[in-house]
Amino acid sequence: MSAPDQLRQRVAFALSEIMVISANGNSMFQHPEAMATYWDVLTQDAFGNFRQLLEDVTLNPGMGDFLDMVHNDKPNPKRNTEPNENYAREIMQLFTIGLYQLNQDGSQQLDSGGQPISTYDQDVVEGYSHVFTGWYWYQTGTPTWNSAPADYRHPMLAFPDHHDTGAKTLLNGVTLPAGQSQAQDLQGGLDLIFNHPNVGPFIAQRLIQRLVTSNPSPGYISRVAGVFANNGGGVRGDLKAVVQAILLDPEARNLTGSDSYGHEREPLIRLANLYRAFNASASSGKFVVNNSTFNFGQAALYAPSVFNFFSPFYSQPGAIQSGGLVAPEFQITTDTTVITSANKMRSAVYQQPNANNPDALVLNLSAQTQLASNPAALVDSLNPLLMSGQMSSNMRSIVINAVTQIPAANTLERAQTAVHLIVTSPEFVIEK
Amino acid sequence: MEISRRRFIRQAACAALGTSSIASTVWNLRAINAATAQAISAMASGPEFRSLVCLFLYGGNDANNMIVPIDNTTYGVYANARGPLALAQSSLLPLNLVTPDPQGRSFGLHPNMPELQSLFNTDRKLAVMANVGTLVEPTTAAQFLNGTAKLPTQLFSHADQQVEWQTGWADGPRTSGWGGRLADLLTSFNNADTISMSISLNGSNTFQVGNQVSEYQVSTQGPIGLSGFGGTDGAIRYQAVQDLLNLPHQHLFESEFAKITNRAITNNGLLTSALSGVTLNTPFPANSDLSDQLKMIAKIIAVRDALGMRRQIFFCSVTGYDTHSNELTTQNNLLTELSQCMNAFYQATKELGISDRVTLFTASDFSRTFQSNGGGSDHAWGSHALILGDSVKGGDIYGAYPTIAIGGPEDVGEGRWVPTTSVDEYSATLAKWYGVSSPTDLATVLPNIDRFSNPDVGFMNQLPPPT
Repeated sequence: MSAPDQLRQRVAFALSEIMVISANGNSMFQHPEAMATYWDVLTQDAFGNFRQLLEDVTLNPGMGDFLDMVHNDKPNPKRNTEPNENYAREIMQLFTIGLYQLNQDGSQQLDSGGQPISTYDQDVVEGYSHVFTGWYWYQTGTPTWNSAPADYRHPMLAFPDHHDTGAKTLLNGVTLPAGQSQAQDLQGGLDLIFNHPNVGPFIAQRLIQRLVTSNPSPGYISRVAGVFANNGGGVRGDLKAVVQAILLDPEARNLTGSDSYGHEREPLIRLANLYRAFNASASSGKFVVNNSTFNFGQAALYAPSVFNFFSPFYSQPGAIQSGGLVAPEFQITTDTTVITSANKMRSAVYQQPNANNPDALVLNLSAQTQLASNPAALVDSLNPLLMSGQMSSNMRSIVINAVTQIPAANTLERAQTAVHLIVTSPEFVIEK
Repeated sequence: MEISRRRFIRQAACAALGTSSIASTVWNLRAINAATAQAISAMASGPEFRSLVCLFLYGGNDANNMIVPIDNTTYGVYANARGPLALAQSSLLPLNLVTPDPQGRSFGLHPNMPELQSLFNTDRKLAVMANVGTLVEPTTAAQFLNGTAKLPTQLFSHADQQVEWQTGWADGPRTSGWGGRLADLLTSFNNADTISMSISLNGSNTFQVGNQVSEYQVSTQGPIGLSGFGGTDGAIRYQAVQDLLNLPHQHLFESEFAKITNRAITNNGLLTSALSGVTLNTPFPANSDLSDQLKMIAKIIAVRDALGMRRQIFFCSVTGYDTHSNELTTQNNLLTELSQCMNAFYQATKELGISDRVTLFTASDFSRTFQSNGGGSDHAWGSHALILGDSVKGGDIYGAYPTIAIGGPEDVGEGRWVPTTSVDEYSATLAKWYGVSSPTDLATVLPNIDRFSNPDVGFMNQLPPPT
């Protein structure tokens, strides 16, 4: 929350909703170091190369635990077992290329019959499940394949005896030859995914959705995917260049005037926006957010499944769906969470220092309190801070009117009232 | 007297709407005057009430270890093929079938499901739908293997298979679910100014998305209202919050967000008021979100009269069934919870005297490979589902339990069974009980149903239609 590298943190959060790992409903709930280590991977690689990110995510022990690459064994005819297909499937479907062949602008390629073309089939999933065999918890001393304690801090360890060395059918009809080393199989398998033409548009569309707008134009996706393919210096997968391209694209910088541009701020991001805007702090020095799942329908690294809190394709039934648009964040915008998140935002605004709760996060509203005698000036100071100056004149009147009715002597309450009304308003919630 | 009054309502509704095709099977009651509305409200507690409860097991329940062959011969094949995932023969809970298995096999339930065993064997209120799954058309393993089958979109992918189970339309658009289309047909049974008849206890889902009816999402703690607006200043702020919500929003997302919030505030008021009088004494398991969901469903069913509802469709769900690893322990816990929660819910409907009007059914992404990956199993296809309630013809396994053999007649690879009953047929059987009887309406709810042979698989005692 208070780190100086806010953009890196923000992009890492976006990546955590694409390459999802979660402590929800599994044993990692008791291992906060698993989530911390994964977060380190995402922050370290957020502005690095996607190929490095892909490998670091693949060998991360928390991911290994979450999607079962840890202890994934080669076929065992005696026990009638086959390798685990979980990571093999999701790294392709959810992390990198998706189900269908894409054009650079994110649209689906169609076959001669007008049908979308699958990127892979079950044979490829099985091929990759064999690529990803032979990894287990990091250990010191003589490593053992069974019963080692979980180590969530170090990348998984290779066990060549448990790696399948047969030939493997992978993407685009490429077959890895038999007899390769575990490292060769991993490099070959990940290189094939990384170089698949889908990765650029796939990642571009998802990062744009998280950072800017739910429904980017094909041109926007294409421009960002182009930068993914080549950062201008001949490098593929340069995420720093990709993030730059996303945030500096004309479509992100200029108001389009469209009545559907932008996206819903994720509930947790709304809270982060509030705390960041007013330098919230607790006497303990911590940033504790309790009951986040209940209040917001989401909590960092705590999605209900590898499919994240919401799907990039979710469309809210009604006007959004009939307009042919998606609105991913609306999937957790339920009759329950619209109320609980508004209640939580309200209590966050009015939170006072509490001797019994050193974790209580308190906003610093001193600057706003000084403006309280002039409600219009108070509201106008909040407009650029919270809403990029996009507050409508109708909304401005309503907020000023309410603040004016609060007794002038209650300067802090006036400031709180203005902030409260803004951060729970539809105009704030939808970031444009 | 009773009959003639209903006929009057029906004719009035037909006349008012001019939609005789709908009204011929679905008695549209929206266009009724106040006096008649009162009469219908009184009927809500009577025989006209019906409720469907979809319990979705997210992740893909390994049904191979939920319904297990226990006769010595078949169990031996099972144990050999399942390897490390095989449950001990003596631990399985025998099922006494009303109708013997055509192949002479006998079956048992997972050892941690004694409550469901009792509901199956003693009460005869639980049925099993064997090997049901997503299909575009009747399909054999041979057709799958030689590439001639038309297949559901993205078999073996969680998100796709969850959605296809919930749309009931494996090759159709994903913009509505079969529960939502069913609600579209029947929502006029309810008072017009009540909460949506599609109620979700676990957030958004595709099952309940209708073309007219939108789902209402409620928490396990019931409805929640805006708080913190006490006192004079609070009232000022509350007025401003309402004014901000009610601004004419040009932006589509803003107006949708405001709409959802306004709906939530209204529904909170309606449901809070209705639930204030509820009593429910049946004990539910502690420390289970599924239990909390089902308990709230029972409470909302209990206050159906106060809400003016004669039709409700619920959605509840539980995650964690994606047992790629550590399967035995994980499934032990999950199926314990499932059995205890389903039983508690059934007992609650008994307490409410409505157990013949409430049917709970399970659904899941897919079953899992019969072959193990060592500690678990991977994504497969046809699965076994459970149906519970006093309208269920319990004590039997419906459909065809697959031949347990890797490379056998139903295997498309690693013990992935090609379904012998489609989701469409399974769902149609439930929809028919719920009140859809004309082929036209059934095809509205389940558009591919005509491609399959069996629109009524037979596990429901079909209620006589209202006259």
